[in-house]
Amino acid sequence: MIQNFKFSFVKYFKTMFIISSAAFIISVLSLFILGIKSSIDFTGGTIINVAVDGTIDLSNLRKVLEENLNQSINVVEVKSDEESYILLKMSYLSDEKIINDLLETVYGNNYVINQIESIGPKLGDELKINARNAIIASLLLIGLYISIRFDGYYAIGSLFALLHDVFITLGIFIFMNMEISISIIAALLTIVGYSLNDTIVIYDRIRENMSLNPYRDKKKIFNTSLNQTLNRTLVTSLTTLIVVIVLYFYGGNVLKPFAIALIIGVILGTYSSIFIASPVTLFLEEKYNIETEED
Amino acid sequence: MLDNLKLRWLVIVCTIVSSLYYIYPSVDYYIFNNLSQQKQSLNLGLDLRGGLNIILELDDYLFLQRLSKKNLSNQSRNKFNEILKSAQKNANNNNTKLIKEVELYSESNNIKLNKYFSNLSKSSDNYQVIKEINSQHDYAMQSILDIMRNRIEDHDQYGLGEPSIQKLGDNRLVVELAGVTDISKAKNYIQRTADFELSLVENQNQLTDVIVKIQGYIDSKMDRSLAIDSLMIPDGGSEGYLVNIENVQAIKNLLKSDEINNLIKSNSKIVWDNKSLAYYNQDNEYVEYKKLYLVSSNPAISGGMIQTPKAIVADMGNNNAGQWVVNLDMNKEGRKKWSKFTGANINRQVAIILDDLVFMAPFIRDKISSGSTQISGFESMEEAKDIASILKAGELPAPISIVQTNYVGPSLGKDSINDGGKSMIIGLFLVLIFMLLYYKGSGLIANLAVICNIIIVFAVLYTMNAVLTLPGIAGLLLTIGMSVDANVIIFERIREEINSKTPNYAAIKNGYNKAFATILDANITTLLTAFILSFLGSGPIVGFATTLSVGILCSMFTAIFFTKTIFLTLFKINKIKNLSI
Repeated sequence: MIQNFKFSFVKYFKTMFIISSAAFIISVLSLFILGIKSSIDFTGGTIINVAVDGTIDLSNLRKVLEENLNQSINVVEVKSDEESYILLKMSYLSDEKIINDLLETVYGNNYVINQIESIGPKLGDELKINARNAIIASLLLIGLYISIRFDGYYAIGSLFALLHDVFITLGIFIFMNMEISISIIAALLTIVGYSLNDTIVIYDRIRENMSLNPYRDKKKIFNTSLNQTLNRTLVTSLTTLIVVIVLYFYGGNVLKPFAIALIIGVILGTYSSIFIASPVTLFLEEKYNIETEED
Repeated sequence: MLDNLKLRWLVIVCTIVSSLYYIYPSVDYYIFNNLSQQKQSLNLGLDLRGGLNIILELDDYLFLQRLSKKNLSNQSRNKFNEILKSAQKNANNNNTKLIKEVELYSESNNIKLNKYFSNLSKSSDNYQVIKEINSQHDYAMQSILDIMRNRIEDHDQYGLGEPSIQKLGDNRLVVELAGVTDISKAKNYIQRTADFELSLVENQNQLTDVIVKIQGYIDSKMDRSLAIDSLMIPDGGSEGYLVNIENVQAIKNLLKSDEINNLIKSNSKIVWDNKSLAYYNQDNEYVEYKKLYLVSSNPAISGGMIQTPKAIVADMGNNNAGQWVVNLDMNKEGRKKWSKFTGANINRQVAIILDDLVFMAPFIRDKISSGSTQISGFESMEEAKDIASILKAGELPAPISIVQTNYVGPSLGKDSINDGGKSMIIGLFLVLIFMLLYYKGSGLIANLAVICNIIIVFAVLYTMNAVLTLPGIAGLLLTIGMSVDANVIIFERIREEINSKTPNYAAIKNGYNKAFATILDANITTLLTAFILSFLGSGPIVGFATTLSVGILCSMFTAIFFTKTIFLTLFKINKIKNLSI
């Protein structure tokens, strides 16, 4: 079993940082150019999940619905090994009775409504603001916590890493053409917590080593610390990855997007604590904190 | 040392035993289907049980309209509506509260609010008026909450499982009805304002006057696509007009505009019948109609004056024999007013109106002094029962609207339980195997800690009265993956110590001591984000945040205290030569 690592992380800091910066910039640009695909959580709207027994004539269903509701309706059939259902997506309906009546005219008694999610547009706007505030608040609180527990350079390093994780995860979601819902926001915040957890374990070791060898070259201290914590970083990432991958495969359709966000986030979070948080802190420490006072 | 160790075991045994005591009923109920344990079991969220979750919002706009002085002149009423409309626009743009925007708008436009709210406050200071409006608003929310509770608890049709009603923010309520499958009916029942009134039907010539005026307005302003002159006068000498069902929606839309409303005298209003009628017209075609009435806008009797509404089947000999009717009585004040009113209006019609729909409009033949009244004209037994319950619970101070609906059907809920349970077990199993392979004997100790952690977390969730949702299960699963982290940090430290030739016992002591600060730091950040998550609002996310934070907190106990105790005990019993790590 792998025990003692002697990788030269510092050697790759620059290359990795450039690659990450490129990914970050592409993600931010795609955010502005392509934009986020918001789920009804933020735009308001109604989604109805219907299971139909027997033949499903999607185009006929769409025709009937659109004629009676005077709006374009997104009708999709979702099929997997265990289940199949139709998703009807439309702008907000405060009463789904009309859908029920129309389904009855099309399918008689051979249908069951599995699920209805319906969010008024005003509530959607509010959720959007809440989600934004929650992300900003968590970044600020974390910056504050790290500043107090470590110092400003560490805080800046960890915030870089967190922004990296959040934006690249969003970028990947944009490229995969997946919707951002309130549960994805929850996943992003969880990623923030997880990535930080990883970063802190490394920071703790760096700080410990710094106070043990105050006059040693900082690059060496950082590199040693990263190697000493690498085993833990990998093992914890692995156990966490195991559970989120299980969640993806067995957690059902509801949790799938959430699990995808977590899988991406756990990988990015592990990577960023080594290749973003540490280099940024090292850079700041070397540039501005030349006479180290051990603390 | 031994005393210390004994104390440690005492704490552990007590924790585990009490946790098992708390989760036993849930296991008995959910796994062994012992139904008698339901009350003592962990609650499942509606996404797992199936049911309806809706968020109701007090319509601040209509609330303010209703709260304002009743007898405003048409001019003042229009001015007030203008204020409300502008404020509503600002509230939508800035995402603020309507009342706040009314205050700001009045300030910046030098409007004295007491002109419209002299019924609330004599003060000319807007601040005082707003303060009074806000306290009325709070009062209205509280009474809506109480009325909803009464409505739902009174009603057996929707009484499957425990209904839950909670306030959310300052103008919303969350209503959860487990097991409901008829969504529309349940929503309709909950949403009703239950605004009950008995009002005099105005003379036919007054209604004709209004119709002629409206027709004139349409002719002058719009193209004549709307044939309001196709109205028919009903048979039997009763007041009102019949409108072809095809035109009903258009006329309703027309009546929403302020200009049209100004054509109607402020002491009367137009209301519709709740059912449609079908007749053969001149061309012998079967046509559906809806009747509209002009009634006084000062009701003789309002909801507050009625008592003991009850849905029954009318007796033989009654006009409505065999039909479902609602019988009701009046309080002292109501009886007095009713007797006076009926005495003064013999041979005229009185409309029985609920939520602006006329259920019936009987003729008054005699002075009625008893106060007992019967409402008929329901479509079904359910409707009669619903209305009796609604009347009993009382009318809402203002209309409410549904702003969010989440419905999960029973089969989807079962699927989610299966999926959630399956992924919990597989995830747990894989993590346990991994730890065992990687850390061997010590891995086994960490695994015991993980299992204890799950037991304790379930017990804590139960004692917190928390609700387990599907995202909550995801949070638990994540906890399993993340909570071994503490042990990983400790074990890696111990390995390092052993590599630098520290004796086993000291290596373990050092490992735990050095790792502690790191574990604390790392867990605090996870808790921090879980804490923020719990403010993100919607129910399922809160479930995730709860299980994640409870899981992380409990893991501090199991992964540090519990595993260390096992190591110390093993050393006590038998000096370990080769630490299996």
